[in-house]
Amino acid sequence: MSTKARPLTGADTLDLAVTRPRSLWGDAWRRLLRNRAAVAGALVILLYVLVAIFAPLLAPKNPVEQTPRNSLRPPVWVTGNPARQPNPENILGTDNNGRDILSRLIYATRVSLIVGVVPQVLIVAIGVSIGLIAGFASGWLDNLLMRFTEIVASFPDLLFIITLTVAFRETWFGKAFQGLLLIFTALAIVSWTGLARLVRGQVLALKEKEFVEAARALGVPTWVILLRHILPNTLGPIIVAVSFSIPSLILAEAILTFLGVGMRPSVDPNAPFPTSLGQMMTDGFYNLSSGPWMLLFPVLMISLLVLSFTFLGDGLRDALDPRDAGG
Amino acid sequence: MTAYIIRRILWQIPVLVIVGLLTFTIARMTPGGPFDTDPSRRQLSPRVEAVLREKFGMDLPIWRQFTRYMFFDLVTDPKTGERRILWGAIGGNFGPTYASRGARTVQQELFGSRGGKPSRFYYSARLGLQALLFAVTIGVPLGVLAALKQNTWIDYAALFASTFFVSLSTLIVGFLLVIIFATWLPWFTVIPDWNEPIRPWILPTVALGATSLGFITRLTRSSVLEVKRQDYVRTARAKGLGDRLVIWRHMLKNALIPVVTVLGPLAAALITGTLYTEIIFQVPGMGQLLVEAIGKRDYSMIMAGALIFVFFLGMANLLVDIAYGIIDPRISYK
Repeated sequence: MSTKARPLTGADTLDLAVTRPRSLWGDAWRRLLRNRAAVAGALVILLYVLVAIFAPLLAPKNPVEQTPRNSLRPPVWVTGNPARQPNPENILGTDNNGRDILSRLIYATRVSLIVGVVPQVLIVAIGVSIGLIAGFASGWLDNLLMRFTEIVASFPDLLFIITLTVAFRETWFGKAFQGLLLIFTALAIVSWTGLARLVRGQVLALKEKEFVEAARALGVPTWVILLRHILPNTLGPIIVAVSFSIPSLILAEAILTFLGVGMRPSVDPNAPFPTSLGQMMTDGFYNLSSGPWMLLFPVLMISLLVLSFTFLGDGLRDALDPRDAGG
Repeated sequence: MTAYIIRRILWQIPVLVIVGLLTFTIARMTPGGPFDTDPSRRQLSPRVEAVLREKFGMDLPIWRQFTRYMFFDLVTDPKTGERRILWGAIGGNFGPTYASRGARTVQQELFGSRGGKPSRFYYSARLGLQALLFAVTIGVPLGVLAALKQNTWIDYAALFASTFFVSLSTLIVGFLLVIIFATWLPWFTVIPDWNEPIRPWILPTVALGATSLGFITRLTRSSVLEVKRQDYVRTARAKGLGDRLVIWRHMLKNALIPVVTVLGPLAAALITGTLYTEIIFQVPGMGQLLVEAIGKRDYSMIMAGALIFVFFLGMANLLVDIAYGIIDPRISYK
């Protein structure tokens, strides 16, 4: 009687051996997909993006068309007040100028999304280059750059943005793109400091690592070390920082608009950006007693969007930096 | 330690000067001046405007306008011909406001009481301090509780609420509070009566403190969780110390150190948060006045606002750093 000897080099062991090594990014991706809150957040964001892109197809009415006899209608399910009956054509009611709130909300998502994303280009460009240079240079240049960063950071950001937007509001720059260009720039000018400090810290830690030393020993020029060896290793924290700063930019637009220095609403029926959630909240706030729904709906819209970005950011942080997952 | 504090206070001076210079430059670059009135109202006659310009020193060279505002200027009394020093912001003189055509100074507007009512500064400062107090007294115990009951419903509820508050910021929380408590539930009025002692303060304090509350809760929780696993806590338990003693003497003392450090940035958020919280809840504080001043190009008020904000911010950060050094003996300032 002979025992069946299992061949040492079976097909399955061979399979195991050729399994491709799991990459850092692949691992992070898998961890992200396991995080239900982050996936839900990403799906909601995707939904907002689709709504923003297809706004003209989705909006039941023109967002700027005013119908004075149809103003301040409550949402269709609010039928309690006999003096103010809802109009079945306006599901979420109308504002004080008789504009359809649902259509305005659909268009308003556009501004919130671009204001969260576009300034990031400038923020990353300034923050990363200052952080890289300061971290790698050390000495007086590092000192100078970091002092500069400290001063910019110590300025109350909101006050600075308001002053900037007021200063340039009436110039061509302030009027370009309905005032959004100025808001993007002002937001970026104050928002890069955190990223610069983060990148500098990463560079300081990385430049002592063996692979950097090896590259230097091989005679690789400094800028190549910076861009090819150090920058890719700081990418994870940068992505996390950016994803966390998106919601704060979205809220900043709302705050600026509320203070009267935000984007300019358009009355052009073909305008791609007729209004923003911040503008709608401001209108709603000043009509609070006659139409609370004018405030409620944009507040809910912006809350959902901001929370989704926060959950996605949390997920990204846990996925890209597993050491920090406890917090 | 003393040397460190002195150095930190001295470092404030260049920061304030740079902030002043920046604000000054931006404010002066702004098209339109403080004496442009709206076209529907009666225009200033050129002679009156000339007198006002002289009164505000706007006929001086631009650099001297700046040093006059920030530091001091030598002025000659037109009657006696006597020369004397006119102190600027450095001596607590923020100049006459443009909006009042020079009748009232900025410090009167901000710090003076108005017809028996407290000053604008009082309202803003009290609101900020109340919000900070609210955030700390609720946030720290909530964070500790969440950490001690990790992975129970208390923990999840605390985490969810704090994430909600942190991400939504004061503006949205303020709007939600107004909608819920001032329009749906008739507990508060949309237009508050500031003669009442407590009621008008509640909503703005909660709104302004909510973000900090969420932040402190999350930080306290993660910090206690980390301390909970430390060896010295295990040692304390192994010695047979009771729960209460371990938590109070061994865990909290160390867990609260990171919480103290975050109070500086939080103070910054609170200070700028007052700007719009005061508008939402109609608090008669500095924030409202400052936002108006920016629209009106009231140069002296804008400058004063920026300088005062940055000054308090610096002081808050210094206090936090000193407190940090006292709580954590491992840190020494040289």
